[in-house]
Amino acid sequence: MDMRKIKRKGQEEIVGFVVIVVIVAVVFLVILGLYVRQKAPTTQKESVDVGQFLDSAMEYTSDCRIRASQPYFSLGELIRECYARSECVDGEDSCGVLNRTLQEIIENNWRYGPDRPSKGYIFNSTYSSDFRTEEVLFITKGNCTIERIGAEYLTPARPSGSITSSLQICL
Amino acid sequence: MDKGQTKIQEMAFVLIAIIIFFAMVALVYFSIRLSSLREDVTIQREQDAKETARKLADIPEFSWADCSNCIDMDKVIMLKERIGERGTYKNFWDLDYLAIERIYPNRTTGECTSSNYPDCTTLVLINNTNNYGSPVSAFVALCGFDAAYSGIKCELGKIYASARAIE
Repeated sequence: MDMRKIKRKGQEEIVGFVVIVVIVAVVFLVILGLYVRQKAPTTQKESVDVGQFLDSAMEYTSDCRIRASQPYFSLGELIRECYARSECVDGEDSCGVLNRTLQEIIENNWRYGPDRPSKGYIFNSTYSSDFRTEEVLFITKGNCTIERIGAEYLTPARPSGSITSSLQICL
Repeated sequence: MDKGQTKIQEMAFVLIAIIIFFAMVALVYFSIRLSSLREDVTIQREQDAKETARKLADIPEFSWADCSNCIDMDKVIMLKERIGERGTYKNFWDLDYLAIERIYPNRTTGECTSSNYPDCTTLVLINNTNNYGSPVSAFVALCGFDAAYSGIKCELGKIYASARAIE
């Protein structure tokens, strides 16, 4: 057989092998891409620690009550009063007391900063019923990227709805 | 060896190469998957330990009647005194370490006794060994009568527990 023919044959086979390798590499990249995409939403994880914190914080007794004869509201109750736009007995707005107390309590336990494990936090309370959705309180502090841990707390609210409060700690 | 045999041999080599390549890809994939599974197991164990620590808040000796996961601080102070005076309950829960910390509002640090309460932060109920490792902690609400509020006041706290069973 002619030497040139043998060389050409060998080149063709090398090209064939390279094509197969390229196809396999593309398939591998597609699988890897899908895997990474599937991973992305799980960066916002439910956290038992944040959940326990939120449950306990909602039992914290605030400095607000509507009448002097009534007991002081817990933070969970105060969210409901904030939604109802109530005013505390000392004249302060219930949402103001809620905002201040929540910030203090969160920042005392989840200290945030660029050099700390927590980079910031987002607290959001939303009233929702079959008919409408309304934001009750929204606090965001620090630098939040996609990686977060969080939990939710549910408070029943009038009329026939509920207030979902969520706390997300940004990592 | 004729041309046909060479071709078959080449094909066999290519097939073997492809199989080896896929095997390596699968190996990499499963090693990544396995490592994330191990991470998940560690997280799950930590969370279970936290839940177990938090369940301690609901035992009758600690629990506050009006809410779950709330601790009655007056009960706990009394219990601490009983443990200190009579040694009752010392080995009741099979724990190496059990303590409650008042986290918010901030206060001057110190061990709680009936004489300095509520101006204190830590309440150690059980400390059977100095080598209890790092205790598991869980957030709880600490409730009790507060004279300044002339009523019930709940604060934020943590319960710490350490035992081989909950690690």
